[in-house]
Parts: sequence; structure tokens; C-alpha cells
Amino acid sequence: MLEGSTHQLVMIILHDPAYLNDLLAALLEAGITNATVVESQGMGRLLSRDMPIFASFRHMFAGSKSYAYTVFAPVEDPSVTEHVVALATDVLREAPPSDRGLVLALPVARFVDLSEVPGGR
Amino acid sequence: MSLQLLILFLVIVLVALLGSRARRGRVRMWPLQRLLQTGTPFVFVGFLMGPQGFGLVPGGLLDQLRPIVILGFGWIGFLYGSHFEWRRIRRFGARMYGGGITESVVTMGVVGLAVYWVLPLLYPGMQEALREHVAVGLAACAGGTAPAGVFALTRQRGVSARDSELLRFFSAVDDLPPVLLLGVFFALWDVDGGGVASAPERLAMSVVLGTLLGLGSHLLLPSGRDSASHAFLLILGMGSLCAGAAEMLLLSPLFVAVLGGMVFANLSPRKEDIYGLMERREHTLYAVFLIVAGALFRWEAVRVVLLLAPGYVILRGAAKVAGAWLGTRGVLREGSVHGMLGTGLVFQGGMGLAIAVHLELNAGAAAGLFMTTVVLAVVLNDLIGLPIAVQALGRRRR
Repeated sequence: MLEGSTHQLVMIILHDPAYLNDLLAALLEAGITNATVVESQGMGRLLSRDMPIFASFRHMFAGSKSYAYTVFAPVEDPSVTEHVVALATDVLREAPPSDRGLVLALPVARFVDLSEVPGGR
Repeated sequence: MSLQLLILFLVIVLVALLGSRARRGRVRMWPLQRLLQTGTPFVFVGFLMGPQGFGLVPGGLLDQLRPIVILGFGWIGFLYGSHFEWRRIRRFGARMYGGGITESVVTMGVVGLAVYWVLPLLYPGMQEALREHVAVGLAACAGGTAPAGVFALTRQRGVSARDSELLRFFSAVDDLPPVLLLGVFFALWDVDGGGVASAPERLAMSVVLGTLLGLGSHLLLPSGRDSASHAFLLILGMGSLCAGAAEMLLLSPLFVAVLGGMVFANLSPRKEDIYGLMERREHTLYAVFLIVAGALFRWEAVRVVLLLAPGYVILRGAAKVAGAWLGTRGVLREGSVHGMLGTGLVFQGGMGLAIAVHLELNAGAAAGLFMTTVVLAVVLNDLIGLPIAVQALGRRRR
């Protein structure tokens, strides 16, 4: 449990789901094994695409249209953050610019790894 | 294709692209935003471009653009069919499907019978075969609901969650009976008298063509992320080939493409990639159809403009209300659903408009009748459908 943590939270917003596996492989290469991946949708896409024209059966299902993924990865060493940014840039370089998404690194005010909290079974 | 026609087509696509982008833009003025969300501006642009506007589009446009329109049918049908994947279908009970299909069938039945009855009054001396053709065609155009209108409605305050869910579900499945009717109708009805097979054989040919389209798309699809654009082109090519073959055999290209989309969605592991690529261009394709429809609109069909189209809108609206009532109370057995649920299903367009263009291609002596009626109905429902539905469904009157 760290207060005044030096951790950073790397967030990668990926607009093309086809690159997800390559991106996760890149994170593994950078030594990150504890990332969290959530399905997400951009605001613009949600507004424009949730108005189906010819057919809407798929739109009955929540999460049936995962146009994007957001990857959260806590990183302790800032140099790893730089490595991740470089790898993500490399992986997504070949994607169309509008589908590349973005990478953010945020300072973490407090970091608690609950698996290391004593107690329980 | 002549240079003039190519330029014309490119202009239509450019207008559709720009218009689609404007629809997604951040227009804050509510009435303007609402208008841009509808298809009406595209119909108006098409009308201005058409022979009755500034004459930029020469007469007989549809015949000249026929190959491109057929390609559009392949796309629309495939996209529609690809929604119906078994693992999704089975998540709803049979009663839900029964409710949605009842709503659609009742609407088609009421509209078809009424049109059949009224046609001799408007067109004395109309041949029986043509009368049946127009009645069945306009019924098929009436059965479905434009999903965009329903989604706009269900975002409004005051519409209950269950009503919203049913509206969305009904609008998702109520195009199936019209597409099926169209497939059967084209198999039964020999458009030019040039058909070489019996009706059951022609229906079987439609099913075989659709299955081949889905199977072929699945088997020939390249694998790998890099080939997404190739895969998309392959699907477009397969869709065009099968829709073209259906057209040549005087079958329904829409019906064939819907079947192909269904087969593909249930076989291919790459369905999500392809679906995403096709859906991304859905707005532009629809805008092209709206512009073509606007260009084909005929003011001189006064009897249609003043009598048939307004009557069609009113009758279809009433039939939707009755159909939804029967579907929810009779089939779904849900007494708590709003009694006027059908007012939320009056939106017309999407598949209904594609069916109208399809029928217009083969209208013969009824040329102009389908497009003029349906275009007016689409515009009227776009303009008045939402306020009426909000007024009706926003309050808990049962």
C-alpha cells in the first residue's frame, strides 16, 4: 500500500478492436501483466451510430457494438511508461489515423494492491 | 456507363457524403438538428436535382443507374441479414417475435387490402394484375419501421423502459415479413412474362442464390487483419454478383441478399469486421437512395400526391397502432404496455424505401406510383411522426 505513490496509470484508448491482441502482446513485452481491458465507445460514434438505418436487431444487445477498447495499466517505473508509449505507437502506426486512438499516462495519487493486504483465506 | 452518368453518380455520392457528415455534426438548433436527422433534406435535394426540379438529373434515371442500385440492394440486404445471428436470435422468446411479426403482418394486410380497394376509384380501368401488384407492393413498403425514428423516440423523456424495448424490438424484426413477401411475390409474379421456371422453382432459386452468397462469402474471405479492405470488397463483389443474378432471373435481389447475410453471419468468424465496415457506410448509402428517390418523385401524379399518399400515411399509422396492440395484448399478453404503442412505429424509410425503389424498378405501367407514395409517406412520417409519438407515448394513457 503506497501513499504519495510514484505509480502512473497508462490508459490506451484503442479505436480499432483488430489491434487489441497486438497491443496486449506489446504490453507483455514491456513487462505489464496486470492491465485491465474494458469495451468502450467514443461519444461521437455513440451519437452517430446508435441511429441504425436499415436494421437494428444487433442494437438490442448492450455491448454488441464494441467499437473501441480502453486498456488500463498501472506502471511503477516511469521508464516502462515510455516503453509502453513507444510500443503502442509502433503497433498502431499502420492503422488509419482516425482509428489509432490515444495513449495517456496519469500520475496515481494512491495505489493499493488489494492482493497484498493481509487477512482473509 | 456514359461519362455524363458517371459524373451524375459521383455528384450524388458527394452530396450524400457531405450530407451524412452534416447529420453527424454538432448542430445545436433543435428543429434543424431534427430535420438533419431525418431523410427529408436528401429527398428535397434529389427532387431539386431531378427532372421536376432543375433538371440536373435526366429522366429515366433509375434505368440508367440500375446496376448501381442493384449493388445497393446487395449491400442493404446483406447488412440487414447479417443482424440475424442464431446466438442473438435465441435470446428473445418466441412471443416477442410473434408480437413483432403480428404488428407487421397486420399493417401489411390492412394497407394492402385498403389500397386494393381504393385503386379502381383512383384509376378506373386499372388491370387486375397491376392492381394486385400495386397493393402488394405498397403493403410491403408499409410493414416495416425505420429504426432511426424509433431510436430518436426512445431517447425522449416519458417513454417507459418496457415500451422503448418493445418499440426497438418490433422495429428490428418487422421488416422481415415485407422482405419475405417481396421474395415470394417476385417468385410468384413473373415480372416481364419472361420467367423460365415455375413459382416454387423460382423461390427455390432465390434460396439457393442467397445461401450461395453467404457460403461463398464465408469460404472465400481472406483471413488476417491486413485484408479487411479486401474482405469488404469481396463481400461487395459477391453481393453484387448474387443481386445481379437475382435481377437477371427476375427474382428479388433484396430477398437473396438478406438470406446471404443471414448465412454469412451464422458461419463466418469475421462477421464483426465485415459488419462494422458495412455499417460505417450505411448513412451514405441511405442518403444516395433518398436522393435517387427524391429525383424520381412526380408532382404531376396529382391523384397520388393529394389522395393516395395522405390516405396511405393515415391508414398505415392506424394499422401500426392496431397491429402493435394485437401484437402486445394478443400475442405477448402484456396488458401494461401502452395501448398506443404503434404510434412509435410509424416512422418509414430504411428498408421500406429500398423496397419501394426495388418495386419502382419493376413498376411497368405503375411507374411513379410507388416512389411518389412512399417518398411522401417517408417525408410526412419524418416530420410529424416524432411529435405525435412523443405526445401519445409520453403520457401513461392505457
